[in-house]
Amino acid sequence: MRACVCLTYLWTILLSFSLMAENNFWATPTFAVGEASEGVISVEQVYHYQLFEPKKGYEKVRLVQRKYSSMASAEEAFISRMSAIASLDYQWWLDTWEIDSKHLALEYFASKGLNQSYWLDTWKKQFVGRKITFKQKIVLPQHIIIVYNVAGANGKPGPIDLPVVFSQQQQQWLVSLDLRREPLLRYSPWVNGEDRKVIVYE
Amino acid sequence: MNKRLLKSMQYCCCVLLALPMLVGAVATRFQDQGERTFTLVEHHKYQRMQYQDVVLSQFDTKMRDVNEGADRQLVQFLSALRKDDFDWWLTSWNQATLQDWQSKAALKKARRVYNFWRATFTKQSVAQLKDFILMGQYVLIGVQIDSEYHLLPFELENGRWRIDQAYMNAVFFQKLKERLTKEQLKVAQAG
Repeated sequence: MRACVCLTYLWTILLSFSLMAENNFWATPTFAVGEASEGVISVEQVYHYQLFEPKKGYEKVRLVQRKYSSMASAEEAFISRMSAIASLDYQWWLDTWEIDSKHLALEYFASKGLNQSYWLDTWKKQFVGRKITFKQKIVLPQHIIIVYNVAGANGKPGPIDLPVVFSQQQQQWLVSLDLRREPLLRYSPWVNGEDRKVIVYE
Repeated sequence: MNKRLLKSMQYCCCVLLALPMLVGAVATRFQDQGERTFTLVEHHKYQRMQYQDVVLSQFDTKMRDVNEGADRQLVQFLSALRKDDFDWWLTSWNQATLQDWQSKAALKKARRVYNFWRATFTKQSVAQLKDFILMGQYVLIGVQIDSEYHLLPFELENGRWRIDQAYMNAVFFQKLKERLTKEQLKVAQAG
C-alpha cells in the first residue's frame, strides 16, 4: 500500500515536472494566451553552379611579379592576389579588393585589431615559400569562386581548401565579400560533392 | 630578300598557330565538370501561443526604457505611432536596422517606413494581439490592425526587445506570415 502511494506520488511529481518543462519557454507572453502548439515552416532553395577542376585534381599556382600580373580573368586575379601575399606587398593586396568589399573588410579587421603588420606577419608564416594549388573553380551568374590550398611547411597539402570570391568590375575581376551571407558559400557543396542538405532549426 | 620575307612569314605563321595554345593555357587550366545543383532544405520549428481576445486599449504616453516582454514592446511601438513621436518609434528597432536606415538617409527610408506604419495604425485603429511565436532567438508577435494581419520579429538586444528589419525579409518569415495571414482570413470569413 505504502509502495503504491509512493509510486503515485512519484508519478505526480514527474508529471508536473514534465508539464512545467513543456511550458518553460525562454520568453513568455504578458497577455492571456491559450496552449502552446508546435509548428514548422520549410523552405527549399535550389542553387545552380558550373564546376571546373584541374585535370589531375590540383594545379600549382605560378606566382608572378606585379608588372606581369593581370586582373582580366578570375584565375589571373587569383594569381595576382596570391603573388601579392607571397611577396608581402600589402598595397598590391589592397588593390586586388573590390572597393566596397575592401572598406567592409578593413572596417572589420580594424575592429579586431588586424592591421598591416598582423597580415604581413601571417603571410610570412603561412604563405611565403609555400606551394599554393588551384583546386576548383565555381562559376555563378555574377561571381567566380576559386578554391585553393596552401601546403604546410613540410610541403604536404594543407588540411583545408579555402575559397576566394571574385566579382567583375569594369573588365577586372576583384575580390568580393558579396557572398558572405550566402548559404551556398557557407555549405560549399562542391567540396564534398553534396547535392542536398537538410537542416532543422529547433 | 625573298628568303627573308619567307622566314618572317613562317615566323608569323608559327606565332599565329601558337597563339590559341597560349591563350588556351589560361583557359584550360580548369576542365568543365558540368552544371551542378545544390538543394538546401531548411525546417524552422516554432512554438505558437494564440492570444485570447486581447484588444489593446491602454497605450503608453511616453518612452519607457524597460524590458517587460516583446508584446509590451509592441504596445510601445504602437503608442509612439499614436503620439506621432518618430524618435520614440525608432527606439523599437534594433541597431542593424537603424544603421541600415542611416546609410540610406538620402532615401529617407526610416521616414518612409514610419509613414507606412502611421497610415496603418491611426488613432481610430483597433489592434488585437493574435500570436506569440518563439522561433530560434526571436519572438514574433502577430497583431491584427483593423482588417490586416502583421507579424513583427523581436530579438533581445542589450536586454531590450527590438524589431529586426532584416529578419522580416527572410523567406521563411514571409512564408510564415503568409500562412498566418491566410489562417486569420479563414477565421474571419467563418466568423
